[in-house]
Amino acid sequence: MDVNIQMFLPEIVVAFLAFAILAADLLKPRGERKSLARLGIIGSLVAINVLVLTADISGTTLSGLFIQDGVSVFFKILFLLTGIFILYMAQEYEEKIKNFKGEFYALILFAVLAMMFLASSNDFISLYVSLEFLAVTLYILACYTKEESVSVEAGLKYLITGALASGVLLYGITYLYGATGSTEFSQIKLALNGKNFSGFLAIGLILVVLGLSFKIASIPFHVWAPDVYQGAPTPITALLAAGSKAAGFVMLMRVMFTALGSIRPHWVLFISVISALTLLFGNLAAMPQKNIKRMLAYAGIGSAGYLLMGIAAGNTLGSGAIMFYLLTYLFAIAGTFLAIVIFYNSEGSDSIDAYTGLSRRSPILAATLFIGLLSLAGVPPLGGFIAKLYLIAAVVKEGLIWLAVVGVLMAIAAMYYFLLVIKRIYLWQPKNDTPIKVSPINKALLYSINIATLVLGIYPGPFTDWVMAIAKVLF
Amino acid sequence: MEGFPILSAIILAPLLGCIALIFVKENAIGLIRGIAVTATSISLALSLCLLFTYDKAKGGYQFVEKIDWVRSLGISYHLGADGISVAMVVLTSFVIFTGVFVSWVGIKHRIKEHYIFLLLLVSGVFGVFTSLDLIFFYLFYELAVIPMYPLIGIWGSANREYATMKLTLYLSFGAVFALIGILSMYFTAGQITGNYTFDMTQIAKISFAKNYQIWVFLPLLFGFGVLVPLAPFHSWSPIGHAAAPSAVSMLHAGVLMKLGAYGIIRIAMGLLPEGAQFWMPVVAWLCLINIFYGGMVAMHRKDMKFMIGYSSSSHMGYVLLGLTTLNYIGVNGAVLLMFAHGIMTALAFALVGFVYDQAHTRMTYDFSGLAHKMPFIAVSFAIMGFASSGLPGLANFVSELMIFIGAFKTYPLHAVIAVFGIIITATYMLRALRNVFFCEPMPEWEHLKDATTFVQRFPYVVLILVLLIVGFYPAILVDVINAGVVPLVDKINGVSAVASTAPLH
Repeated sequence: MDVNIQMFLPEIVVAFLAFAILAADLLKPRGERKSLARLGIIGSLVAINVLVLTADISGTTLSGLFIQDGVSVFFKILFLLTGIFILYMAQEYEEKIKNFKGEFYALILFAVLAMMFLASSNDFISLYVSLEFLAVTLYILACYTKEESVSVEAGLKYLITGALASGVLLYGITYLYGATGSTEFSQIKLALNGKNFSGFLAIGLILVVLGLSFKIASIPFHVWAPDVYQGAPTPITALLAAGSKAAGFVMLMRVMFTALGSIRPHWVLFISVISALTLLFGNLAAMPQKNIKRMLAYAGIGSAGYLLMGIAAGNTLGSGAIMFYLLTYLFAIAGTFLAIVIFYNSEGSDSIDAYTGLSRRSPILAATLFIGLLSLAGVPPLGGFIAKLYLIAAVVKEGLIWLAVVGVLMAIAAMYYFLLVIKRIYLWQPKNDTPIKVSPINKALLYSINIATLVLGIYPGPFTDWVMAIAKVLF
Repeated sequence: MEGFPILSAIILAPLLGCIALIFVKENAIGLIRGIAVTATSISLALSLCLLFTYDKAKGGYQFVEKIDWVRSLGISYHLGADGISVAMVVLTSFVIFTGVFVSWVGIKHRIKEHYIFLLLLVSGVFGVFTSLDLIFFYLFYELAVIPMYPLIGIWGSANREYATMKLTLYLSFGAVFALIGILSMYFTAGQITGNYTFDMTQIAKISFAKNYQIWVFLPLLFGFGVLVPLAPFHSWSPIGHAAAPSAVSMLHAGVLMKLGAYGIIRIAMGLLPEGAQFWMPVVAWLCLINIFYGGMVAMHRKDMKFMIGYSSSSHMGYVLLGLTTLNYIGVNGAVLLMFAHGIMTALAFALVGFVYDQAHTRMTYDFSGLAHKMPFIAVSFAIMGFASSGLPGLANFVSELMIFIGAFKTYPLHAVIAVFGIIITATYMLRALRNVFFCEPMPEWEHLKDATTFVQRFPYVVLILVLLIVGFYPAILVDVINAGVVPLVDKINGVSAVASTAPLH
């Protein structure tokens, strides 16, 4: 077996880091564990550096199970950045969790590690193993506040739907293996070349897509999202929203474009319909929500619908758009959720009602939510707009005008429910107008996240050129 | 002026003012107003410069600036102004300049934020009128729409939350619908030439297949039609006018409604000439609905802001009727009416706002004989009413006349019907004038004060002067507008038809 350690050096760094945190947790006396989070953040920054330094070593290793290319590098950077934001948020949230242990930080890093392996999986076997690795860490993290029944309920729901989806995925993989005789993506691609499309293949394809729909929270495995988003500790909700969704899409891109790209005419309608249904469900169901995390869960389902438009388009523009969308999504989610954590620490509530008059109490939190939510809604000149523009352009290019119309209508729906929140924040008077304290370091972080969202919207050129260049390797 | 990026300067002046305001203390009201006045007067001065330095003989897009923005998609920061843009830019700078003075009197709380949003909005509007890139057109458009939400939501009057939500959603909805048409043109044009670009001047050179033009014209017409507002998608507009504070109503009716018509001219008609020829007869009927439906509702409205709001949508019917004629004089008249109506309606909303700020009611039946207490306002209102009803000597008369002459050439039947719309306008304008300002004075309005100080009177004087100057000497604008209209109309009618249609001058 060929082993090229350099290719997964960053993964080794992250694994080592996670174990180091577990060990340090045992050695440290009882008390706060914030220093462990800082260790994790510094370690992740080191991992990003290692990744960038070794980025030009590309190819496959471990007998074709593991691949390093532009796409995997992009997603690994994205996951490590996500990890850094989540670790920071988690150490802000530490006091809110009873019986907090350092393993919380280690588990976050294990989740990041699993997502990094997912980004590099080049075979259904490594994909499935990494997926389960990720799932196990998230099951634990979702129900970490054990004394709260909503959190336990969240973990249980997540576990049951997750197990079901995994089964469906595995079943689908066996069909694809039966049809093509291989589990490696490039081999499947070769095997499908010139082969007639059969019902056997169709069953495999449908089951695999349905199985993967769990991770991205799209129809039909979307039902877990609202309860889990609401019940899980807020940093973990952000991890599910930004990280887990991105991990789902890197899998979908590899499977649909690399492995099954040649039979796109057979699946384009299937994916388009799932995309449209997800868009409609997510955005319409978000409207009546009273809890901000729950609203973001439904909005997240809607986002999965948008990202699926990029899969349906099946071209370089679409896959580049998915990557750019996830990049803007990360910053919007990081800003929004950090603001939610700070607000929760001060007020102890996640209900939208509690946000009334926030602009009078903390201009910076209000501005962050304003920018973050409107970026999620896709309003120019914020990053989210360029991302949606690319996705809509990608489907218009392939002639899927009806899907573009659904996407555009739901962008207006998204604007509506996010404006409902912004209305409370900016237009209404607060019930009590004591200012909410935001520490200088949090303020600096919020400012930089907001600036990033603005830069992605006002000067997206370098970033879009980057994602478009690396999107080519998938085809 | 050669080489100076005058269009960027016009857009940036309010934007920089807005950024400067962020760093000013909330209670330094004098400084806040000073910055707003400075920023808008720079834009006004530069746009007058634009008007007088635009080379009418040369025509076409002038003052062009171009910087690549996203090369992989062919998006560039590409500005340029032809005669139509110049007229619209001048209109915008007059409305915002006077709007700042009107807010000076009308806005009492959160003054700093008010000016920040107002300046942000107006720099978006300037951007729309000068963009030659389709994506920047859309970006600037949204930049103009989003500030409307807080502007109406925070400083508005009755029913403001409903109104502002409805307005923001409708305006964005129209725009994204047009965006689908724009994207489709982008890809089709790219497939034809192999060069993917959002540059309007490049796309304009391509002749799309006739069937394609007919189909893509629809989302554009519908999208921009919502913004005009074309019946039956007009309901956001009067309610938005009614709820907005004065300066915002002025901008909204004076300028924002013109964005839709401008989009139809620049994008739908400019890029899809055969689509325009196919659909314009249908649009002409919709215009008649606009004129009469808007006019009739305006007659029955007792709330003065609603009355003027519906009257605006009725007047926009004339503008579109002028566009549907597809001949020089009709289209020229349409653009001139966009200008004249913008100034006139801004004046109207400013006056109603002035009365409302003191009396806290806008119902015509609540008032009587206000002219005794506020003669200046009464005279201004009378001039506005005359302009609105198309009396000679004011800008609206010239433009409406041109539209009717143009319409008689193309749609004689429509023209005959549409002329009667003027009677409706005169009916409700004169009736409002009589009920509110004349008749016996009422004792309960003894406390009302006239506009006496310079700041109070200044905006009305400026707007009335513009109406009179353009009314008596329309060539000052028409010559410039014509330089933009001729190439457009020529393109739509094909070069062969030019000989049969006599030029305007």
